Parts: sequence; structure tokens; C-alpha cells
Amino acid sequence: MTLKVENLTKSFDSKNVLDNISFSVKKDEVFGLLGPNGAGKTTMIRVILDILKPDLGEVEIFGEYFSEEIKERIGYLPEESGLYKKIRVSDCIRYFASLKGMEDIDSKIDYWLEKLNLQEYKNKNVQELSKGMQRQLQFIISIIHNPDILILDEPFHGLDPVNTKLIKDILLELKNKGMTIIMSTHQMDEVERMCDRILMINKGKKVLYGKLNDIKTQYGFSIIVEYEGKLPKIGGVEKVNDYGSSAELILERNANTQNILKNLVGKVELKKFEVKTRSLNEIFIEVVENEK
Amino acid sequence: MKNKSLIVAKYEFLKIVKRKGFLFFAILLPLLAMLSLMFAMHYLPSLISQTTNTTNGKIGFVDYTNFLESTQEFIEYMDIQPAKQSLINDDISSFFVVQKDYFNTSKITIYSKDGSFFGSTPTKTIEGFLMKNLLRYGNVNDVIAEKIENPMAAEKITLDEQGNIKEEKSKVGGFLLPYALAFLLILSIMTSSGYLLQGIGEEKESRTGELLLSSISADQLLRGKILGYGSVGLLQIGIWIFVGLIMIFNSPLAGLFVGIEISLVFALAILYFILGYFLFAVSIACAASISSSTREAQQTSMIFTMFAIIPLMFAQFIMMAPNSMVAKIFTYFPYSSPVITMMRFPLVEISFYEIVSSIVILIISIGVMTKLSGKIFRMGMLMYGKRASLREVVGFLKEK
Repeated sequence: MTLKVENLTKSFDSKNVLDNISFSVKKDEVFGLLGPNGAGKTTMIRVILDILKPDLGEVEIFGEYFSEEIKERIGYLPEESGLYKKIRVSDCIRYFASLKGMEDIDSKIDYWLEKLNLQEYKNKNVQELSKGMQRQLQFIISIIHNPDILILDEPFHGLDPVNTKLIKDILLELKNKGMTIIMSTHQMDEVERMCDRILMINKGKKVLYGKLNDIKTQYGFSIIVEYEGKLPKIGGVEKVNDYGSSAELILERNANTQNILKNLVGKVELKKFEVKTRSLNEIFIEVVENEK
Repeated sequence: MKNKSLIVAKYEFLKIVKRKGFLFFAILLPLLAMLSLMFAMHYLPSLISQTTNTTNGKIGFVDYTNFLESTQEFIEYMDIQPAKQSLINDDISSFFVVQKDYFNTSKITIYSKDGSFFGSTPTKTIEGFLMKNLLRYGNVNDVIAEKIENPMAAEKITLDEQGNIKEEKSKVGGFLLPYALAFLLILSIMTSSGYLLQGIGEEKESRTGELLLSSISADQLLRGKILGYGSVGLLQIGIWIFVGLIMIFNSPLAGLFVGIEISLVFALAILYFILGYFLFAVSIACAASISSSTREAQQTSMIFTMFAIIPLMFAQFIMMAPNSMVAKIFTYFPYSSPVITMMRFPLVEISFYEIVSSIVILIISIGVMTKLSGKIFRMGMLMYGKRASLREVVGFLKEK
């Protein structure tokens, strides 16, 4: 197990920010850390990185308790765009890389600047880079030392679609090379595409944890219909999100989709009938709203 | 694993010394001062002598009481008008008028051509001339007159508790050194803390704290910053001292520093200097880390820079009563002990107990402040855009 967190509890001013949370992350997997704003994700990451100490519980990385040496095997991309603005791009990378214990830095700098199309900015000051480029520069800083675990907090924040794809491709490449990736994001579609397993926390509590496919199956199916007419009341449907000419029918567990189709035929003019697992975004919203 | 504090120290050091502002203040400014001094030493005497030569250094006087006797330097005029004409013609540099009621009022009127630097009024010379004439006028004999003018050639003897004569130790240079070190300590604190505040302020503004703390512990980061900015401050002070010494040893003041011994006092002064710097640096770094910007950091850390300055406010009192209760309290208070102890060194024999106690208190204070500052610094570096409240700071201290 690459990362093992057990019974983690952390509070500030007697408010529980993390409440008895346990999970583990396996080698080579992309793990999604999800939750609404203020759920405790950043605090969780800070505790994993030993920036904050837990009140209770334990964190083990590579089967060991945290040490300064372990920091060199972890890469971190924080959500905050923290960079020194008045120094050259290459100097900025070199400084953070040397803090990760790297020695032969220059060739790696060229490799990664080239890969992220930033080579021409190598000798420019960081402040001359656009926000998106600065985010790419932060990404380089997080991976230049080839860490065993990469922790990303909102990795696609501020990136255009082209660079989002570029970073995603690099992440998948790194995963295939054996890197463990923990990703905290609000972009559920990216999580669905990339993550093997997820942990969702809300108000400091663990609300969902496991394989993405299992969770989605557990939350049942929905049917997307495009129609003309008036939708009848249908058995086996738990909730209808009706948009007028289209609707999403959230199904009860074990509902029979064939019966639902039969109920609709003849009552409305059906143009589309698609059965699908529920999106992570829907599950996320449902879980958060149920917790209110 | 490399010493990460040294990586931080090297980075911060090079970041500052490469800046144009540093090159100007640390190198160009003392160079300009040195060039000014060289100019002054080479050209000022000739300028002064040129000015003096035009008047031959002569001073005129008009004496309505008739007790002054003219000399080669002091020319007598019977009335103000011819004296004025001589002044305009540059025959004399100035003249003074002794009024009839001088013995009741001591009133003297001095005339000079302008208030320029080189032609300034020679008040002291006139006073000396008046005193000589008054002594002669009062029939004071030459021996007594000479004694009135130079009443003592002092030789100081200090006795110990048993009444034995103690070895005289106060050579002027040796006397000045501890003061110079006290002054340098304050200067170093001001300089280094300025850089430290600026550096931590920039760190807070650029929000790099979290990224740094994922690679290095807060204690290592704090040590690296103190070492880096401290080195910048010491480099700057070192350049100033170097230039200062060149200036001093090329001036008549050089004689004061001949034969200074590296005594125990000097070694202790260095120790106080180093301990003092670390205490102030760790405190100021802590204050800066809970602020949201460089400007706010300067305000917050003012309390510690005040601690460095307060002893100077009491300097006159400490010099008058170096063994007073106030002086002793300041010797034990860690923030004032480096400066006050260095001030007291040349004046009194500070007891071994006092020195050891103050050094121990200083070392314990550095240990405690480092521990507390480490916690506050770690949490402070993660706070962006707002200053930590007192309650939050207390919360930081409770962190594991």
C-alpha cells in the first residue's frame, strides 16, 4: 500500500475539520479526493504531507511513518498559485527541485519545459508568464524530481482545454510508468475519466469510498429521454428532472428499465431513450444535499 | 540528504545580493563615502589654507574697555568703520567689538563676512584670547594663569576591594570597541531584519509557503531564512566596516586603535553579538510570518526592533550609573542584554555571575523562541491575505 490513513481526526478551534477518516491508496492508481468547498480536502492533503499534524490517527507512506526523506518522494501541486514572481523560470524550478534533493537538474528542466511548450520562457521572469503558464510551471515543479506519489490539488484550474488535455496525457503517462496519483478536484468529468477509486468527504466525514464503478453501480441508473407530450407517472422512477422536451429519470434500485419503456410508449412520442449509470456529478450533488 | 536550510540560505542570500538596490546601498554608497573622504583629505586642507591665506587667519577687534592687547593674530582697530573696511578687503577673517559695559554684561559683538563653511566665526579662538587678556588684566601670575587654562593632566588609578591598584585597561580603542560592537549589533539587526521582513513578506504575498513546506520542514525553512538574510546583513555591515577601517586608518584617528588586544571582553562581545542577532532574527521572522504583507510585517515586528533601540535611550543613564538596578535588569532581559552588557563592559567590572546568568537566559530565550516561532511560522506561512489574530496565534502554539 502506497498510502494508508487510519482514523484521522483534525480540529481547529474545537471544530472537527476531519473526523475519524480512514482510507488507503494503492500503487499505480489514480485516486480521487472529492468533496464540496470546505469539506476538509486541503487539510487532509496538508496532514498527508506533514505540513499539519493530526490530533488523532496515523498516516503511513510506503509502510513508514512520515519523515523528511519521504518528502523527497512526494510531488505536490497546491491549489494556490504560489511562485516567486521576480526570478527566472529556470531558477524557480531549480530552487524547488534542489529542495527535493535533486542534483542533475538542468537537463530535466529543459526536458519538461520542452514537453509543456514553455522552452522559450526559460530565461524569462515568472511574472511574464500568463496564469495558465504559471500553473504549468507549478506542474513541472511538482513532477521534476520523478516522485513516487503525486498529489494534485485542482490540477486543471486555470488551464485552457488544450493544456488540460496535455496535462491529462502526461498524468496518464506517469501512471503507466508506476506513479501513484492523488487528485483533488471539483471537475467530476475528469475524475470519472481518470480515477480508479475515490474518497468523498463532506463536513470532515467520509461519505463515499471505493472503486468508481462500484460506487456508480451502487447509486443505480438513470434514463435520459427526449420526448413530445406529457410525461406520465411511472413506477420504478424515484425522481424526475424534467426539462420540457427532455428529462432525466432517476431510477429506484432494482427498477426494470423494460417496464419503464413500455409505460412510456404510446403515452409520449419518444425520440430518445438512453439507460446509463448515474454521473459522478449527480452522485456528488445528491450526497452533499442529503448531508445538509 | 543535503542540508536544506543551507539551500534556502544560499537562495535567499543570492536573491538579495544580486539586486541593484543592494549593490547600491552596500557597495556604491560606502564607495562614495570613501571617495568623499579621499577628496576631503586631499583637497580640504588646501581649500582651508587657501581661505585662511587670503586673510592670514587674522581677527580684528575694537575694544571700548581698553583691556585687550593686540598680537600678530589679533589686530586692534580704534573704531568699527575701519575694521569693517578691513573685513571687506579680506585683510581679516572677522572682527569683534568689546562694548563699554563688557564687565557687567560680557557682551561681545562678532562681525564676519559671510556664514560659509570655511569662513565660519572662530568663537573658541576669541574666547581663548579674551581669557588670556582677562588673566593678565587681573594680575594673575603666569603659572596660575596656565593652570586656569589647563587645570589638570589626569592619571586614573582604580583600586580593588582590598585596596590594591588594579591594572589600567581602558585604552581608548579597547574602550570604544564594545560600543562599536553594540552599535553594530543594532545596525545588523536593523539591516538583516529589514531583509528578513521583506523576504517573508514576499513569500506571503507570492503564497509559496505551502509548496515550500511540502519539501522542507518549517524549522529548516526558518533556519535557512535567518541564516540567508543574516549573512546578507553581515555582508553589508562587513563592507561598511571594511570601508570604515580604511577611512579610520587613513586619518588621525588611527592612533586610537593601535595595540588593541583581543581580550576576553572582546570575545564576550562577539558572543553577545551572535546570540543577540539570533534572538532578534527568530522573533522578527515569527512576527513577519503572521502578517499578510511586507508592510504589515514591518508594523508587527516593530515591537522587537523597539527592544533593540530602547537600550540606546537609556545609554546616558547606563553610562552614568553602570551598576544601577536598571542597568542590571537590562543585563538580564534577553532582548536588551547584548547591547547593555556591551555598553557596561568598558565602564565597570561585570561579575562573572551576571555574565553567565545573562548568557544562559539569552540561550534559553533563543531555544524557547525558536520552538514557539517554528510553530507560529509553520501555521503563519499557510495563512494568506489576512493577519493572524491573537486567538489564532494561541491556537498555532497549541498545534502539535
